[in-house]
Order: sequence, then structure tokens, then C-alpha cells
Amino acid sequence: MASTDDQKIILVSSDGVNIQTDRIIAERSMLIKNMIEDLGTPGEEPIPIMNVSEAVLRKVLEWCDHHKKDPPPEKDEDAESRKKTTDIEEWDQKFMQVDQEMLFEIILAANYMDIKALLDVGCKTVANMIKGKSPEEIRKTFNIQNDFTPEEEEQIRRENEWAEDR
Amino acid sequence: MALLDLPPELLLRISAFLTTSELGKSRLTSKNIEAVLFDSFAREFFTKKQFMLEQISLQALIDISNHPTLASRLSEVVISSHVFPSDPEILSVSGKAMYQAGYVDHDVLMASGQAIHMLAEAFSKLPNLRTVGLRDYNGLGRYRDGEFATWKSWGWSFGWDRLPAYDADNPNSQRGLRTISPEPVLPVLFYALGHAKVVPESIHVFLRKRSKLTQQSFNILDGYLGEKVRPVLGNMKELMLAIGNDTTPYYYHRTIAPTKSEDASNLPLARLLHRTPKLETLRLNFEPSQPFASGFLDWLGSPVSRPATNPVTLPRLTALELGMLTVPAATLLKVLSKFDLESFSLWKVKLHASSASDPENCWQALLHDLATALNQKTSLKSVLIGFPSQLHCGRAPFDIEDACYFKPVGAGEEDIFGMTQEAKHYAGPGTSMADWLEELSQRTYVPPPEDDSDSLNSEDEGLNDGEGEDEDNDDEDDDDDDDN
Repeated sequence: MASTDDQKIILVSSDGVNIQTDRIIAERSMLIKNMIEDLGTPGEEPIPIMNVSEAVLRKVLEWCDHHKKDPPPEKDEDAESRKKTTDIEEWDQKFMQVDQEMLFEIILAANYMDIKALLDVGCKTVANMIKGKSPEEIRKTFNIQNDFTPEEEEQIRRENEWAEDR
Repeated sequence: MALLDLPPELLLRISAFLTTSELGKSRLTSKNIEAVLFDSFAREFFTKKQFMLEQISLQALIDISNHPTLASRLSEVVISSHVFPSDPEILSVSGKAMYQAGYVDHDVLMASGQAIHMLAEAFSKLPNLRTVGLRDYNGLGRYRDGEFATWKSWGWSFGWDRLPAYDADNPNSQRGLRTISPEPVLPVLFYALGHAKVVPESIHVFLRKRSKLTQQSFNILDGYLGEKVRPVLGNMKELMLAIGNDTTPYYYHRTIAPTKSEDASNLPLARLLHRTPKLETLRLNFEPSQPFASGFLDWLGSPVSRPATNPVTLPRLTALELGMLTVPAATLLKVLSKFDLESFSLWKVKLHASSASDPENCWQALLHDLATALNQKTSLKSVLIGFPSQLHCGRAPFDIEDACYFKPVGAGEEDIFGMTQEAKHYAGPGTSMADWLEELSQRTYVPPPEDDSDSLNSEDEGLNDGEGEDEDNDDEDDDDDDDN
């Protein structure tokens, strides 16, 4: 079988920009990998990535490039549900130092393009922004308006107590 | 693009990385977020919940049963046998905390009947209550709070922070709760259910510590108590029990006649099973070194055509799970072929060679006989056999216990590589369980007996293993917890 390592393909962003990249990089996305397999003619036809703008797509491909040699994602959903560490490797941490707008766009794109590892890094990054904060501090961080009445707040506080290990 | 613009499934994915306390704080941020998180929050924390027989805990159970949405979520209530450390002085540190909060202590809670009334009140307000459990340990699987975090009884930490032993800086410090005997707790649960006129489908008693249910726990069919309890039993579909009614070691009894089925038919547990005509699943975990199990199973397996033994019918029984017992192969064969089972499991079952002329490999013979007996039956679909062993009595000075192994499929006569102590099979459409049992019979292997001095040592190991057996037995139940 011929090596696909240096095969080039073209992706089209939602705002109509063609981006050329290596097949091995693009195939971190299961969406693209499956599309290429279905089309059967890699490189010949540009692949539309409908929901992702150029800026976000370039950022996502930057991540895929860095992680192109990672082992393929585990399929074991069970093992995955048990490990809930929020540790993020250093390169990914730096990669995620973007404004919130971009952070959420990356998460949406990773979800749409089916790149599980990137989706996890994105979600962990947001989770880490929540950790150690009071409700008021979380609201401030994400610009959320408190629309609870004091009674509703008290009710939720009670439900939280029942859920806690106490 | 903001946090709230993310679709609900991604907000949930983010929330999966939060501890319970962080999740709680997120729920407090806004209505929108709370609404997105609520369903999975309710499923994770309020489908199955463990409480203890202390006022603070049962009050929480009642409060949840009064909650407009969470009450209908709670389908499994587990009562643990943990209670607060005893503290005779009301003005001691923890006694004071209880007093100030207005809580009576555990003994008063039980003796006054308050525990039963609180349980009954809660049970009557839980429209989807399906299972009531009793256990003496905390299940694993609270992964959100760490790999080894457990689901403890709610309220377990009350007053703890005031005690001298409390160490806020040490996350591994554990509160030493007291474990009470489960013996009277099962009757309390049955009585509370009867009082509330609530019939759950299942009663699950999982006990890992030494203290188990006794015949007193099942002596609940007569008089004042019986009136309330009998209707509950009459509609029960699943009963899982951990029984330890006899503390006499098995070898002590080998020379005298084991409990006769005629005797067993008068035991409270036998009478109780006569009251459960709708039972579909029965799990009986015994204790490895007691003679009670074999006599009881002899009765359970006695054919309906022999009225002298007062046999039980259990017409709907389709799943039988037996664990931690020593029993003659013939008795086990009788039980397994009496009912029209769809599945059975035998966990840590020790076959008792009934005579000196028995073949060396009891499991081989049993599986073969079972295959023959079941040949005409089509219902059996699922079989699990784990950690089988056999007991040779009279190979003096002590009885000898041999573990039994299963060779891999296709292994030769002498080939003992890759043997396991667990065999599991699901017979799909068009396949025969009898064929598999026959084939499994050929794969059983019992290591040849060693000379007497070595055998003595292996007997010691056997007893030590017995200590740990309790720990392993309910592994399946941990899996239940994972589903939470």
C-alpha cells in the first residue's frame, strides 16, 4: 500500500477559503477521515468543512499537525468515563491560551470534526477555568447573569448538599 | 460565542471534568446552565442513594421524597449498616452536635420506632422506588471525586469536624463509623415497606463483613409484623440475601448428619420463600464453612411431588445465583434442575465429595450430570461459574480443599497453560447450553493431591483465602454502582 504520509488534500472553510494540508494531519479528524474513505479519491476534490471558519480551521489544523503522530484514539468508552483528570500537556495548554470566543469555537469545531482528543483538551480548559471558583466568580469569568431568586438559589444549594459526599 | 452558546451536550462534557462540589457551584450560576445540567445531575446523584439509620440521614431521604422532581428519580434506596460512633455522653463533642441539631441518637431512633416511621414516610412518597438495599460497605464508582472515591451514606460526616481525630488537611483520613448487625435491619426495612404499603421489585442485601443475616431476620411472617410484611413479599420479584446463620465450621459437622431438608423446611427462610410466589431472581450468598447451606439447598431442591418436605414451587423463578457455600454435588444438581432457569451462577462454590468413592474431580462429574439433566430444557441461556473448588472430607487430619480450574478451549489432557477459575457462557439462538456444559466438564482440572504434610499447609492457605472471600464476592455489585 502506498504511503499516505505526504499526500496533500484541500479543505474548504465555511467562509469559502481553500486550505491545503497533509492527509495525515487532516485525518486526526474522524469526519475528514471517513469522508476521504467514502470518496475514495483523496486529493482530487476539495473537502468542505461547512461549520468551521478559516481562522478556526487553521487553528484546529495547527493542533492536528502537532499531534499527527499520536496513537489513534481509544475506542474504550468505559475506560474513558472513569478517567476524569483535568491535566493538560504543556504544548496543549499554550495552544489553548486564546480568547474565550476562540476557545469555544475550537470546542465546537473539534466536536463537529470529531477530533476527540482536541475536544477533551478544550473541555478540560473550560473546566479548569471553573475549578476553585465561587458561583459569583464563575459568573464573572464567563459573563453570566445571575437570574435566580434567593429562594431558588436556596433550593439548588440544598440539592447540591444532597449530592455531595457528606 | 460564549459559554452559554455551546450546545447542551458540550456543556455536559465540560461538567464531566468537575468534582461534585464544583458541579454544584456551576449549577448556582444561572437558570440556563442549571436547566442544562439538571437531568444528568439528577441521574448521577439521585437514581440510587445510600442512607444510614441516623436521623440526619433519614431526614434527607424524606426531604428528597418531598422534592417535586427528585422524588420520582429515586429508584433505589440503600440503607447501610453504618452508624455514628457510639457516644454515651450527650455533652461530649459529637453528642453535643447531635443534641444541638435536635437529632436523637441511633439507639433511640431505632427503639422508639422513629426509624421505621421515617423510612415508611419516605418510601410512600417515592413513586418509582424499585429496589431497597441493605449493605455494610460503600460502593466504588464516584469517579467525579477521584478514582477511589466511594458512594457513602448521606450524612456520614455529621459532627465529624468537631471531633479531635478530625484532620481537615488529610484527604485520606476516614471517619471510624460503627457497623451494626444487619440482623434486625432487614425486618425494619420490610416492616417500613409494609407500613407504607409499598412493594419494590427487588430487595438487595450485600454484606461483606462477618455479620450477616440470620434466621431471625426472616422470622417476620407471623403476628403483628407478618400482617404488614406478607403483602410486600407476595409481589416481590427479586431477592438477594447474604446469610450466615451458623458459625460452626463445616468440618465439625462432617461426621454428623447435615441439616435434613425436613428440618430446613421449618426454617424462617424456607417459610419466607413460600410467601414469594412471584419471585423471578433469587441470590443466596452463604458463608463458606457452614453446614446450613447444604441442608437448605437440599430443601430448596426437593421436588414438588414430595409433600413431606413441604417443597417450595417458585413458579416464576428464572435466575438463581448461589455463592460462598459448601454443598454436595448431588444437592446442587437437584436445585439447578428443579426450576426452569434461564440463568444461574455459582460463585465460590465448594463441592463436598459425598463419599470416598466419589471421583476426584467433582466439578467434572457435576457439569456432566447437569448437561444430561438439562438436555431437554431449552430455557437456560446464561451460566457463570467462578472460583469453584472441592472439599475432600476425611483425608485426615483435616479436610482438604482443592481449587478447580478450567483449561482453555482446545487444550490437551496435560496442557494446563492459561487456565482460569471463571467460566461464563451465553447460549445464543440455535446453540445448546447442555453442549457447552458437557464441553466445560471436559475442561475442568483439579491439581493432583499433594502428600499429607503439604496438604496441611494448603489447608491453612484455604482458610486464609476464606477471609478474603467476602471481599470479592460482591464485585458484581460494584459494577451495578458503575452504572450510576
